[in-house]
Amino acid sequence: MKRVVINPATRLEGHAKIAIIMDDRGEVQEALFQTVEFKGFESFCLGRNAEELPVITSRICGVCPWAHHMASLKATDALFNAPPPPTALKVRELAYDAFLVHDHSAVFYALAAPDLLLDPDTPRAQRNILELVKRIGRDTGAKVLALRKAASDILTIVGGRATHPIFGCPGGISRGLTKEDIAAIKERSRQLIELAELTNKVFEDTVASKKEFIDLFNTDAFVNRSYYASLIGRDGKIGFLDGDIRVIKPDGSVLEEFKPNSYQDHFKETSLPWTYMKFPYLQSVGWKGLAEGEDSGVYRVGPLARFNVANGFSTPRAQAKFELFRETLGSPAHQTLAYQWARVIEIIHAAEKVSELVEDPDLGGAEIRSPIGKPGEGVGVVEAPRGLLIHHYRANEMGTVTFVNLIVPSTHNNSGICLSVKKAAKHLVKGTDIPEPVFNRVEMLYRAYDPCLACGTHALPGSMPLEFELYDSSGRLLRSESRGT
Amino acid sequence: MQRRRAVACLGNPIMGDDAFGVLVAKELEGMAGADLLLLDEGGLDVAVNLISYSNILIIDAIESKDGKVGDIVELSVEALSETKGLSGHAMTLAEALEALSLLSGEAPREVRILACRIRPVETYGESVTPKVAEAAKLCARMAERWVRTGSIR
Repeated sequence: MKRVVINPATRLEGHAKIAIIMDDRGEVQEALFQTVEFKGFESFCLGRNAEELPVITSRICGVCPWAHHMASLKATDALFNAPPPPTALKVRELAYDAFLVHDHSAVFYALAAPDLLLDPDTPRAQRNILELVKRIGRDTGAKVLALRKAASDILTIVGGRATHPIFGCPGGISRGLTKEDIAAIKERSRQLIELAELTNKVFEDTVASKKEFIDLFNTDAFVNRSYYASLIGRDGKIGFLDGDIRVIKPDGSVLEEFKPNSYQDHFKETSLPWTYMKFPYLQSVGWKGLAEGEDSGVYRVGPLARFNVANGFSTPRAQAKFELFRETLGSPAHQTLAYQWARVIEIIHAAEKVSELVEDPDLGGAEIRSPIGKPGEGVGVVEAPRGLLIHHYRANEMGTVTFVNLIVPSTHNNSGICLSVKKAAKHLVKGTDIPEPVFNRVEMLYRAYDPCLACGTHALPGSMPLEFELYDSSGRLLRSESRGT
Repeated sequence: MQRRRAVACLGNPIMGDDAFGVLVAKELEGMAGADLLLLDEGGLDVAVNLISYSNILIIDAIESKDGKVGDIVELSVEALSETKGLSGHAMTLAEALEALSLLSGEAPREVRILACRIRPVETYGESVTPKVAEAAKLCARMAERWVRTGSIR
């Protein structure tokens, strides 16, 4: 048996190891996605005042702090029995939509586009945003950055700062928007639409309209028939901040739909000996190991899940793109690389929502916070950019936190990532002499999920290093290749 | 148009010694002669925040491989360039700096990097190793000197 490992070299923005175990004939027998999680955030929160949690939890991550902020706000709204007034909800939603534009566009240009817009056989050293800028042109690159800054500006206007917001509080928000704020947001909302359309044009011109890419999406190695879970918004549309959780089967039919606060009755976790990460699965289906299909309780979350679970978007431009997506890939779309396309279309929806909300007369309302009640228990669930994010807290009568449970999207997707890597490896890895393009394709698949693993630290060099190692059946190291170290 | 000098401090206040940059920024509050930036986001946004600056001093933490904690080292941009390459999730600082040059159309005249050696960050916490806290004060003085004279030492 031989083993290929993609392994962290240091403990920086996150950890990931992909081990591919091969048999004596040079065929892949098993593929394991391993991570070393940052432990201790839950215990770090214990003993604090529950009102602090929305600010503290946003510090978990330097990439998606707004998602944690929003999930935490929803959990503390519930914990203090303080439903926010309409103005607060709309300001929160507007900010969250600006954040989605900000985050999705960064993921697309910095991580996805180098995979998709550059030749998959491009050497690793040249598969990055720098080569991408050379490909799409410096002017376009600079324009993207300038337009994306509009999202950052909106976040600063609403949240006090772009990255780690401090504006939300249980029962509402701490500061309302002035007329000047709203005017400034309105001006920038047009730039968000421009960014969204430019990004979708880039994607459609270079990927979605190209037969070779659609063939790549449809390659059996890159397709995983799984369950999908996401929040479901009004009228069955994609919703990011509200709604029940719906789970669909691999054939697209609904398995179950339930209130977010009953998540523990539906999502269970199991452990496997080779990784620290838990493997969530659907309680009603059961854990049958890392397997595809209706008999396996493995489910996936994130942009692809949202596209499969919901029937579209509430906004017209995004809806048109959604229909093109389904026409091209079918429904449910099990093509893992389609995560990237769904992500790009969601940028349009988020930009449209900002434009819509900024015209809402409630946005500048004076009633921005409800009085908080007696502390108790609260669950907050949002659709983070990478999928379903659950915050669950309990506090004693003094408001002191006694219980915290967080389930982040990359944990939900752990089984899906393992499945994807295993299947791709089985199809692509032949023998011990593995060419770089094969590693590239395995990484493309892994990156489609954009797994966010304990990225709270920024210590240099600031990346998620990877390492490939190839072992023979006796455990002897045959090959080692560092990536991003 | 590049016109300004910036001291960019990177760090996370709840990640133990990774708060080094945050501590330096606190020491530098009110400093004249340069913009003080406290950056706590991923690589691409680091680049965005640095566009338009001609002279940049970056302050960050670096995990110590040999157990020595609290030393301040100056890193070259060239040394960081070994970290380039598409990662699983985010851009490296080296890529961010190169992107900055590429996208702004004009490389900063000067980029210097001061990093404090820290213990490995393994869990969340607000406590900082005493030597790292001491080093933050020293680093702040070095940054002030750089702002005043263009020299770090």
